[in-house]
Amino acid sequence: MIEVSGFLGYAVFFLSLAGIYGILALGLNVQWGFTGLFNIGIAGFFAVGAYTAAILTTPPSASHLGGYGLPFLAGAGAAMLLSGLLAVAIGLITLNLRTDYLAIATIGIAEIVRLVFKNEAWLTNGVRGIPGISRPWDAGALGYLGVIVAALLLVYLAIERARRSPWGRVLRAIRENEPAAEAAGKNIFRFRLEAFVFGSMIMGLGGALYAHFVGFISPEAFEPLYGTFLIWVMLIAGGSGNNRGALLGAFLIWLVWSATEIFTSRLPAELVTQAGALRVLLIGLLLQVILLLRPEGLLPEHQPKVKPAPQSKE
Amino acid sequence: MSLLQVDAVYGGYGAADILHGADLAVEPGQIVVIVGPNGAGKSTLMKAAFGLAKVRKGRVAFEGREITNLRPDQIVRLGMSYVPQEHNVFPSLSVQENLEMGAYLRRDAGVARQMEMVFEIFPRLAERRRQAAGSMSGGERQMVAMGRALMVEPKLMLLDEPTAGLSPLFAEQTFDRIRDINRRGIAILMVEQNAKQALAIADQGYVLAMGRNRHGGPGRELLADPEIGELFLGG
Amino acid sequence: MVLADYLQLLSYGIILGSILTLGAIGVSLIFGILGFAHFAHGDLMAVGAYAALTVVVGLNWPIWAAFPFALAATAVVSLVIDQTLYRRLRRTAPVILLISSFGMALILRSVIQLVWGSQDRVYESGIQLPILIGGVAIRPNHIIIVGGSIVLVALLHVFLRHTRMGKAMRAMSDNVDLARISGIDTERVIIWTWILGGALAAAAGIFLAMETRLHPTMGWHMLLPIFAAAILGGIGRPYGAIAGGMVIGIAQEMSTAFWSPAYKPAIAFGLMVLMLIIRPTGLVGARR
Repeated sequence: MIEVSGFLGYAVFFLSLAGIYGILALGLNVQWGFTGLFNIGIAGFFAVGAYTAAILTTPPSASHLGGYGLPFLAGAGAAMLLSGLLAVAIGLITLNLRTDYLAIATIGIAEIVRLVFKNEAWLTNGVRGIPGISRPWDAGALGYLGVIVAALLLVYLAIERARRSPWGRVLRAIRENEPAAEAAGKNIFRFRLEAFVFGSMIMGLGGALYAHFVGFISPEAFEPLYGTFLIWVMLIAGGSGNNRGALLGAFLIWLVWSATEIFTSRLPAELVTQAGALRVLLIGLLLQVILLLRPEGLLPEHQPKVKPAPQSKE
Repeated sequence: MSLLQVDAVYGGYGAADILHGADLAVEPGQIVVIVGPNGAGKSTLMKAAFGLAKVRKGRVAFEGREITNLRPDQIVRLGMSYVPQEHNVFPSLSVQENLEMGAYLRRDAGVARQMEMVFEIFPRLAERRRQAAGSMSGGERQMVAMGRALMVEPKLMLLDEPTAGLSPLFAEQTFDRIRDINRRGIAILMVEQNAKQALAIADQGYVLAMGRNRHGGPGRELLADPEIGELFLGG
Repeated sequence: MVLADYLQLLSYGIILGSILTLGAIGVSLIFGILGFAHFAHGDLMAVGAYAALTVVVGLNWPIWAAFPFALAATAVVSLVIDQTLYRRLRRTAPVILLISSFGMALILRSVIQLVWGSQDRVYESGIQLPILIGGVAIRPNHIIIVGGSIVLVALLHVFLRHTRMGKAMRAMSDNVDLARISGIDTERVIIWTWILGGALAAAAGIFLAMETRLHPTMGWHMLLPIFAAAILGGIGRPYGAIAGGMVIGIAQEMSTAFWSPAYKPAIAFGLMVLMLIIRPTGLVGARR
């Protein structure tokens, strides 16, 4: 077992979280980028995944449900399953309605998931959280980074394959022109539900990886800011619809976010409590700037086409 | 000088043109009807005149002033109003409020007088002035829609298939009302599926096919022309 | 529990319902006119509450005197956000506005935190003595909140029914294209929508702060119940928002007789989901 420290240690820490965010961004890309489903309750699916893995894999504890001591892979699988089931329930209700309703419903479900985890102490030990979630296979920090990267790669390949498949083409067709897709005899609702569930399962996997990475989870970690907002900024900055864009966005925004921490940690002591707010402000402004100046992101879904036909201006 | 003059207009909504060099002229006080087969670009031609479809090439002028590709709200100010085929009333507003919205641009005392004129043409609207337009029948909605378009005291009123979806009786009444409006000095340009009835009241008719004019002439002449009858008016 | 306890909860429900109504009307107006769910609306409420606090603390004025200033300030803030940001995004898909407003929610919240810090605040310390009416304790603030809300809703009603701009607003909410064809200046209607939505949000925020306390996240936590109220009333219909706000407010407070108060937001969510399942067009019903 090799432990790393110093700068290398920070690099491993940074990359691990960037990898987990990358997985979440890929999950969102399946929902929003491919299919146009507006999920702003990522934190909810993320939390369900993290808590499922934590409860199933930790040793017995008097303070919360658990003691199953299942292996890592079983926990991660169950995390995906439960996140997926939650997505089925939400999707069945809202995917036939307009985007705004799905958005509001996902905010609601994320908030309720957080409330349940916060208040049902028998299940989750409430605000005190679940400690002692160990890394699998006695992996060190570096080894676990390998696990995260492997998972990221698998997710990327799976999604990339899905994107190129007929299934992925139908999703894009639905997003671009719903009536035409419907006229072509596609069951739009089913495709949407599949994409929503698929994306949510990936978010659940991200949650499981996160739980084993930090070793301790509490409801605090699943506030909408970290769990949802950053991931949206990542996907939009990188380029929604483009998987490489999602990964690039996750990496860059996580870099920016981490850099602002370095910057704000040098503020005078009386301002340190304000530092968090300042970082959020900066990221919020960054999102607006991206939306205004480059809404298609750094790596757009479609390469800009050279069109000979003159496009008349609005 | 024609009231409305459309010269060799090409255009439509997106990349592909629907209109391929269509011409049109409406003289003051006339009733002008555009007929033709489905997909000929009849409604598009009218929308292009009103700034609702894009004119890529060609020219639209109102009272000699170029209005090509102006916005609808700019065109309304000049004295031209438009009644869409569908969704042509504000459903949650009362009849009277619908009419007031038609006169939104005006702040003068003439609004009340104009509303009286609308109620004269459509007495049924006066009875129902407080009723929400969304709760009315199709024929009544068409009255509200035409009443709204009259409120700006237009010199020219455009009507997109005013009798679509109406029973023959209501369609007949609608044509009567259109003639009634026209008698008050307001020129009418309309697209109609009921080509025979429409041409019967038209001073001038245009037969449009494939986005361009095929025939033009006084309504009764077009009606009498056996070739047009056979091709476009169902024999 | 005895009857008086339930009546007490009912009174809390009416107070919360009044606050939710003011927020939900704004959400509904904005949705009707601009076609997107404004996710920064809760935080706009917080802006209003803190704007009032600024006047109360800075000028040492009583809260009732600060009230109109806070409404005006929040209306200006909403307008500035719209004209600098949302207006430029309007040409693209409405869903981009949704994302942008979500970001705006966090921007507003962090600005509040930067200026005021994250500790709890109140307008005036000290405890108001309740009056007992039929076993129900009512504080003077409660009367101000409910009475103030009624006055504001009545003013809004007059505006929407009897002014040219108010009617144009309803017209545009019904049918944007027809509004344009009629010559209605849609940009002006949008400006008025933000002025009204912002001012009502400020009032809701101030009332909420009077009933509880000020905190930078106070608005974000109201977002779900506000949207639940707007959806229950049929989003896009300001009059439905009144019914929706009252139903959600009363249901949330009455639920504490049976469930942990921690789950109040879940009640709002549950009712909203129920409505989405059985009648997505809202209590008042669709006319389109």
